[in-house]
Amino acid sequence: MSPFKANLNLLKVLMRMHLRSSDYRTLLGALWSLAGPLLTFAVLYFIFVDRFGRGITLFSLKLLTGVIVIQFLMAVIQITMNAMRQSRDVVVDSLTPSEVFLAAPLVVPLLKFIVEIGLCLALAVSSGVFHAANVLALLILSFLFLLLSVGAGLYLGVLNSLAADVGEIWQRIQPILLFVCPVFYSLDMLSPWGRWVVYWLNPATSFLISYQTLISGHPVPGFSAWTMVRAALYAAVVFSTGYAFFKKFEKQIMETL
Amino acid sequence: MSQTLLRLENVGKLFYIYKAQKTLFRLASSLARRIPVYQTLWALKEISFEVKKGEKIALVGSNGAGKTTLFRVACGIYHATEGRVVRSAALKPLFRYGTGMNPHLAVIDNIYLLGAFYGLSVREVDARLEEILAFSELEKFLYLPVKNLSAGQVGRLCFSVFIQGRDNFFAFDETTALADLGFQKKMSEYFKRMMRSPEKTVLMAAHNLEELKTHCQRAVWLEAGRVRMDGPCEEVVAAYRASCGDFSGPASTLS
Repeated sequence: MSPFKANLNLLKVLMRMHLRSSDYRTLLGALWSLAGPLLTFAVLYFIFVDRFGRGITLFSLKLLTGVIVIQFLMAVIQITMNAMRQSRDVVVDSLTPSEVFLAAPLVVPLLKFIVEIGLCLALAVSSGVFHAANVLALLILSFLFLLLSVGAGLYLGVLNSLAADVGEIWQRIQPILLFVCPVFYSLDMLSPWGRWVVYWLNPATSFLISYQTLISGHPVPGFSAWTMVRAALYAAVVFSTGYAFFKKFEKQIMETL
Repeated sequence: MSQTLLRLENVGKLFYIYKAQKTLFRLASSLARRIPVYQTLWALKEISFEVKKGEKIALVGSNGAGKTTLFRVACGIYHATEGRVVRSAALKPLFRYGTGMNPHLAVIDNIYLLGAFYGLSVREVDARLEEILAFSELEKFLYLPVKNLSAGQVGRLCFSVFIQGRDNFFAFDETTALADLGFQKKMSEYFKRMMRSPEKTVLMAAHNLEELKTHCQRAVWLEAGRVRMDGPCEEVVAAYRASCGDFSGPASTLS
């Protein structure tokens, strides 16, 4: 077997083992994993339905989509950031490329995300708002979103290896993501400068409003054809620079793990 | 003349040892006060030697002499800080038992996992499963999570899968440690076969000097990261033993 094939085989086996040791071993486990986002959705819904919900069409669907998208972003960043440390023994005792250890554990949040987005799509279909033509755009968007999330995780992973408290600081600030992204409000509810900050300085916003628009079939304020182009640019830039940053420090990280 | 598989030319490896856990505050504070947060340690210095195809080389030296670091540099896991490492074949390392295993999964799952780490496809593991189980003597524990096995049983499992690989160039670091007498015999048989093969090239570090003398013709003695002696195994081991004083003889025989 060539080294490439051997690494691909290892990646496949590792992914299978990650799934096997997660909740996704059984249907009940997969359903149980929905409890987290549904609980967050329920809390946010009851708090904000009166204040913001009345001004947003299909509020509950958009809120659920937003919660799922942001929780996926958080999960992928967290896993990517800690992947090298979690696999320390194999990283320093084998010749396996780091990419295998970075990619393998992502299979669990990715599958969880597919199931959860599937739930949103089922709700959209049952409400008669979903357009089947949006499926391809959703798939492309999801791939780009994964790239963005991994890129951000790689940046944080390198910084975390340089200063051990970066991971802890990130854990403290990541819940803020739910508030700096238009999850339970829409952009037109913000002041002009607030809208500018959330729209232009937060790469996740482009993805979030694209998901909400594509799933609900109803344009979210701030969405245009350019929103997806900007999302693609953010993903390309964050992933490529994050990966280059990681490769630059890869050996140093291995030696300090 | 035999082909050279590995050549190390004046290899040095420098590590940065941080004095305390690195935090943003400590880094900022050390930058402001211009005090380094780390100290440097040359784990290897001016290491030069060659490994030819079919050679069986023992690596001896006290704890912290740089044996594992040398293996890691030779394999390509660590980059050499200075000097040059030239490899014409991939060096397959076996450093520590349990590497790559998932302790929460069953023995059977971990066999496939280890197989993948050692370059075996799922189909190849399927074909050799009985052999692996027979060698490791863990047939009864097939569905038991690995965390419930003893360290020795984990070692058996790991070694039993490792030897199924097709590689010809190996680095063993303390591989016989932890095994019970019965399994040590099995391993010894395996090593004897391997050492007789002109196709197999082996680098082997162990504190059991008798075992090294049995298997290897040549030895390299590392001391404080430098090569102190390189020559016939008998001579190097005798010199190493003498340098350790009276205590080393019985201790190494006992192990």
